[in-house]
Amino acid sequence: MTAEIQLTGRWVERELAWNDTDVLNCPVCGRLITRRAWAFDAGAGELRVHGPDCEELYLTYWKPTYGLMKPNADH
Amino acid sequence: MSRKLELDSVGLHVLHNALSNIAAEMALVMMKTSYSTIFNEGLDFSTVLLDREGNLIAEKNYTPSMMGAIPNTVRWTLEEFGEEFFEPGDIVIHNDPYRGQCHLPEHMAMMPIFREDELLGFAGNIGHVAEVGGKAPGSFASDATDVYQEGLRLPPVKLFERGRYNEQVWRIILANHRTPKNTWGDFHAMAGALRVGERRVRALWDRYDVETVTRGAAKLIDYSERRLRAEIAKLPDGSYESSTVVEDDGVSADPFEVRVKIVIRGDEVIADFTGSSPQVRGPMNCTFVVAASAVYNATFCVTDPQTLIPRNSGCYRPIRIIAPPGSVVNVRHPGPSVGGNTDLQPKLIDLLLAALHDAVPERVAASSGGSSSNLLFGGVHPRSGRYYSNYHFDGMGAGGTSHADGNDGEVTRHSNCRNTPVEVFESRYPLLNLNYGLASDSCGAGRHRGGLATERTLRVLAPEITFSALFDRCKIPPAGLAGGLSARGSELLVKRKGESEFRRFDEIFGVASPTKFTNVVLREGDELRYRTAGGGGFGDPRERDRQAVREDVEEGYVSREAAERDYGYAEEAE
Repeated sequence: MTAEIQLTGRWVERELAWNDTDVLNCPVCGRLITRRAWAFDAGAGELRVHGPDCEELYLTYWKPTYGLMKPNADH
Repeated sequence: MSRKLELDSVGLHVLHNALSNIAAEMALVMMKTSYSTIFNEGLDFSTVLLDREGNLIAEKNYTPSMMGAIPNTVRWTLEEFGEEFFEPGDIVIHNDPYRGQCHLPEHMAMMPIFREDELLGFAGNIGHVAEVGGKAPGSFASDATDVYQEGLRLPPVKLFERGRYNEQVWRIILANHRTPKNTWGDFHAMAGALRVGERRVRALWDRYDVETVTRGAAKLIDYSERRLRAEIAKLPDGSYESSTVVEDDGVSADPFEVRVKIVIRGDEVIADFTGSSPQVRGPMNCTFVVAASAVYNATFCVTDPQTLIPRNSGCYRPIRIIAPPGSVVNVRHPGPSVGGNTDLQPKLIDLLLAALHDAVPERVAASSGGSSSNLLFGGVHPRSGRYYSNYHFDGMGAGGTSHADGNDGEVTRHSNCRNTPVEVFESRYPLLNLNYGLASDSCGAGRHRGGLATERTLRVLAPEITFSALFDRCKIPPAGLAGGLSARGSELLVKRKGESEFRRFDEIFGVASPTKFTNVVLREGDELRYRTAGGGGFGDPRERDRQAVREDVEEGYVSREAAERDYGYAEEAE
């Protein structure tokens, strides 16, 4: 288990009309993001991810391995 | 009146068995009442119970390929639509690969379970529906370039609303599937299984009370998480990498690559597929949940190979997955994905195990045949005059391990499915089996050899039958491990009526791949022959037990020539 880290993100609601068929994936893990996303400052801008566990994964693994992730950038 | 159940280790064991038996009974309903052979013979489905948040609490997992979808699909549906979407008696169906399903044929049905007005959980099942429309009978278009060619895509919609048929949805589905009678029967088998599950859960509440069952299910999930974390913690910390090349995507002849880095840190695992090829044009892409299934499968293989830990959402918590969107392991709309589930997923499992070989060499296997060897066919049956369609698969060789030979003729390890008996096959479809058996010399040699592939020859008995195929490991055979040798790859051949030799499909029909093609019409008297891929060998073949080599030769599993070449058998005999 990794050491406890301080998460700074918050839930943000997404506008999603019933006739909107677009699908959004988490830029960190790849999972589906539905009506809400977890938003946090990733160092190079705000990332919107699947949930708090993705912020933790970003801080403890993704960023140390690959560097800062820019918002809307595929990795 | 409720009985008291203490939630100590004994009580939890009782509750776990009760919940698992409900899932098992649901599976029996599916098997006994479905119309299609893929359900009642192949068992290509899973049945589950989930809590009100969509956490898996019990399963009868005939097909591990669905493990990744189960914990995600209900939860994502709840997140998208909210609890208020569900009402008592509803049954929701869903096959959207971009919203949590494995590929278009796989449909998840979910039924909310209420206590008065309160939603307390779900009964669910996932099944591979044999025909869902699209450009090819059997809905396996090997040359599909988008999801719309693969069949009818359903976001979560209600098949039943408060127990009544949602006729508008049924009409759309039945009008778009080629064999609507089968769909009607198979969807009712799924619905029947869910209703049995709902009734049995209610009976369990009556026996022990709702609060005890709900709290006990949560404790079971926590227990499984603790147990799996303890097993992961026994693995050496570190970063383990591997990569594999897949021969083609069905549309072009170009290979593509999948990479993985597995990080074991303490009691958790991260499987990171960053660096894998961008999604391909053909249908060999997989969805996020398919990649997740492969990760769960490989992780459980090395941490709990005997399934001693109850399989529920607790088992998934210590496992983290990074599957970049837009890559071959996480296809984006509108990319096709039907073959990703059946043929990329087993290779992902092999890839993950190859990476884990450095961490736990005694617990991993060499490459398996790695392809579901999908054969699809359909047409008008000359006996009934009705349209039929079938999704058929056969066993391949499993990879050898440090302690045993690979299984012979095993349907891929991510599916656990059964083959269809010849008698059932021939009574339903206008095809004659000329031969069916294990393929000699198809296994990879090793201290523990790989499993043998299967081979079969079919003769067409109808005026015409339309065939599609999605076989892999034809050009790149399954690899051995730790000094073991590669197995023979797969092969798919055709002999036209009146001709004397079998030839490849690309030679006769000009298709892009010899084993991935769509809508090739064969006529009465034509013959189709295939061999699946064998399993790779594990360890130096010269270290194989001499008696085992002798038995392989005597049984015809390995020819004398191959035994001489790979094992030094003839030298010893002299």
